[in-house]
Amino acid sequence: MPIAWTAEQIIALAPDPSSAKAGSALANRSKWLALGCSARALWGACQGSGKNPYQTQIDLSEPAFQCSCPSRKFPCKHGLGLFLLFVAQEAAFTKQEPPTWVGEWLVKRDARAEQRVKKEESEERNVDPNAHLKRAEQRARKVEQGIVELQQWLRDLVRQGLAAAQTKPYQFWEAQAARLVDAQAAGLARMLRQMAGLAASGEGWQHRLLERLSRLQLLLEGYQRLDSLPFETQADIRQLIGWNPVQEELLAQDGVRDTWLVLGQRVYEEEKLRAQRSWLYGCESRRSALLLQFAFGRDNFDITVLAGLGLEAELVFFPSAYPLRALLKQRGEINKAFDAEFSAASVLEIYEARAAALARNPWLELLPVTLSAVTPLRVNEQWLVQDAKGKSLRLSKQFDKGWELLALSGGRALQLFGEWNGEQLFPLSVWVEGKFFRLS
Amino acid sequence: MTNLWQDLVTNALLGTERKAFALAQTGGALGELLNRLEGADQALLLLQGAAIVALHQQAGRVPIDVEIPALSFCEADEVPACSERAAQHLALMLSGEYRDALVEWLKALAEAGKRVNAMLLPSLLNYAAANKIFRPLILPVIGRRGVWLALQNPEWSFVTSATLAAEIWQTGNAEDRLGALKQLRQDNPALALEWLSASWPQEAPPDRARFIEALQINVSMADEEFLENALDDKRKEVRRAAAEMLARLPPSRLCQRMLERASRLIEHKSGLRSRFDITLPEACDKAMARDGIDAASPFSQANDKLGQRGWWLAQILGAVPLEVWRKRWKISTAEMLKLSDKNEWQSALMLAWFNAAQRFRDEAMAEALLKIIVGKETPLFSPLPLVGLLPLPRREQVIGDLLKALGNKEQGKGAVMALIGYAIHQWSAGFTRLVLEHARQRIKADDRGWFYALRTWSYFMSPTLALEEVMKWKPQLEEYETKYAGEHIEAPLRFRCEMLEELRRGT
Repeated sequence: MPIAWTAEQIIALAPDPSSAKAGSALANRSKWLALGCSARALWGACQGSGKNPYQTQIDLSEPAFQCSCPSRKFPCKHGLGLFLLFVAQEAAFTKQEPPTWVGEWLVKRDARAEQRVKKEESEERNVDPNAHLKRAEQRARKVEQGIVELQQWLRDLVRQGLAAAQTKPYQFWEAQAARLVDAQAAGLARMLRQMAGLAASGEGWQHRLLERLSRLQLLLEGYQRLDSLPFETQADIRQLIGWNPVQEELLAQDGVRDTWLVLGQRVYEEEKLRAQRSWLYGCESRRSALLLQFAFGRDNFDITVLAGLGLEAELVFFPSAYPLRALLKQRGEINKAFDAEFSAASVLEIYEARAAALARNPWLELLPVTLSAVTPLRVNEQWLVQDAKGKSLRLSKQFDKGWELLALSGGRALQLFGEWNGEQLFPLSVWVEGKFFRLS
Repeated sequence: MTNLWQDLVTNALLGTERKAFALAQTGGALGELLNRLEGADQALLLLQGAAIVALHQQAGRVPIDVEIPALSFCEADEVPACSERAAQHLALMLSGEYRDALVEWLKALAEAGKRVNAMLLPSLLNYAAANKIFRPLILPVIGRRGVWLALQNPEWSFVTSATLAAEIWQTGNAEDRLGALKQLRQDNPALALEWLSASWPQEAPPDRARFIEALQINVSMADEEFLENALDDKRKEVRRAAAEMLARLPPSRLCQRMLERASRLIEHKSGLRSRFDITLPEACDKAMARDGIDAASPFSQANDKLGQRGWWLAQILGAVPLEVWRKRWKISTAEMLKLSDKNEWQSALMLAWFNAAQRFRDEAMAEALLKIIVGKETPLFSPLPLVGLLPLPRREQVIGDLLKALGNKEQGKGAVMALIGYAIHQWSAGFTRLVLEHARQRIKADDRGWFYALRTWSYFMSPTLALEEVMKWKPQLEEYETKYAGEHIEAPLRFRCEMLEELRRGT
């Protein structure tokens, strides 16, 4: 499996900067004993502060890590160090059959993957259809009540005026959001929490707040006449309110098999969780997909995908009028750092794409976009990118790698991938002379 | 932004209680859609209308056209970028880990004929902007891309200021102008003097002294006329700075005057009972003050072994090159020190030779003085400036000799340790071995100071050799020391081995 792993990709797997540092320091041949590798795995023993050396192993097919050290970070510094060392000095690893301790772990991993599939199948069979239906009805009633209350709250808000709302404390929003959580409408609660900070967001806040409120109103209207809407739009509305599709049901469906390129990733905090968006692009299907994962604290995300690599996989999309979010049903080989051709757009084209997407899903917030040839520029302390036709796009104020972007470009056009919210672009990766760089 | 939306926002801001809401009429598909809204409730109607108008606006948005001045682009670099792994090392150091190895890495990168890759240029430029001593070190390794990038950010103007020195001299603030003057003084001392002479009458008195100090870079007899005039400046700091510069020029009129004065004060008697005969100056007259002689001694009275007149003597003798005396009296440096040591005015003489050694970069005197003062209980002056006068290989030799002479004595230990940590930044294998062997024996005798000093020295020692050596000690260390050694001695050594190996690879 000749993949050009890069140190940069591996560093990106570190759960925090101190692990990255410690891992880099361990990427040193003299720290390791019995280094070995097979087509699928890497292993080695690292002398730490304990009595016996730690046994560290990596399943390259994901990659997945395992180490006998007591660290609760994942991957631990030994895992990162071993991987970094492999990238730097592959020759230090003896090519051989995995020793027993590695072999057993790999077998266990395979068995677990099989079990997961079986379990999902068996659970499906075990569901008591009546009890299931009953629970669903109960929830629907609760949500219904929550929505009636929210509608009244919204009306009062506009009746009394947004200026009055601006003087209210955060608790004003939070209390209503909490009631929605109780009503099992977590999606609506999330939308309210996002609005809570808008009143204090500076110039133009009233525009931003009314826009959000009206979008929420549109959602409530949509829910009231749910049955009259197309199935996909129903699905969008139900997901936004807080009904997550049952993963097992989704995974039972046939997905889209393709070589999926991981174009970019962004990790952010959401309600005390660490969330990760990975944006994928199918080489054959020419579709974009979003893998969304959550983790507590320093836990690692369930599945490891690395920006800059291609992945043979089957994805199942959530039902939507503009399907983006997907689940990974099955993954195969990781192949090549990608240089595949894929469609990229001009600035004007991504505006058109967004209008078309909104026509299908008016609540859509982020659109993944690849701009084919744009030049980064700094105007009045603000970063922009401009295409050959002179059309420009503002970069997000939260984007803090503007100078790095400019340094990579050298004043020339580059291909850029990012998240586009209709106003600002948040760049996640770029290609310079065919070489991929992650910016996040 | 349309009026339609603006009306909605204004109304929402006030609230429908205070301002009655009615949908404005508009044409087209949008108007048609809005007309279909029928809410009895005004607040609800406003929200519904806003939903439609907001989406209509969003979908109809077009990209901005901004007039942007064309950006120059950067020519390709012929110098190859460093490897990804080397870049990783740099990123680690810039993040604060093993930062003390950064100077060594930058030098090794320049030696290997490589440059920093584009992605890390902003962090490196920021670092050098905040830490001036790194500026000359990064210039050889940022490549064309780095210079181009620095042009785009005023905070990085130091990169290109070399060519802009003249402009900065005309328009910059005092700090930048001083930098520009020093820069030009390196490349073209005569032109720098011309600049300074031209603007001298307009210069603010507080800046004058600092500008004169900048002339020490490549100071020569060409500066004498200007400096001699500055001796009549109104301000004391300016006169003092000018005198100090002139004292570094043996053929200068000031040095001649000093020699005349000195010749009246010291006499060498040769023969069996060879000695110095000293006549202390009677007073510090105006002419002496003009030549920079300080009337008041900086030493506190309680601690003053010189006395006021001894202080004057030390200043006058210190302004004469040592070579003058050696030739005139036909004696060696060692002989001079021997005679000084048994003289009644020993302190004044030593201080004079110390000052002269620094001023005229007299290696022989610096070395001889070092050997005398290291080991003295309360030395009159610090040994550190002296060691800086020796060329690098000689420094190792001299400090090595001092270390050997130190043996297991306590007196002078502090001074030798200070010299080891101060004088040399890339130790030879021999010196590394010598220091480590000494440290090993000291640690064995339970002198832990040497163990903790290795933390700083781990950035100076020859890394491969030092690592081997330190690993051998490990079994003899206490448990907490093993941990300390692992983190603060071994780790930096390993890191340095690895980063240097990476830079050497493929060159």
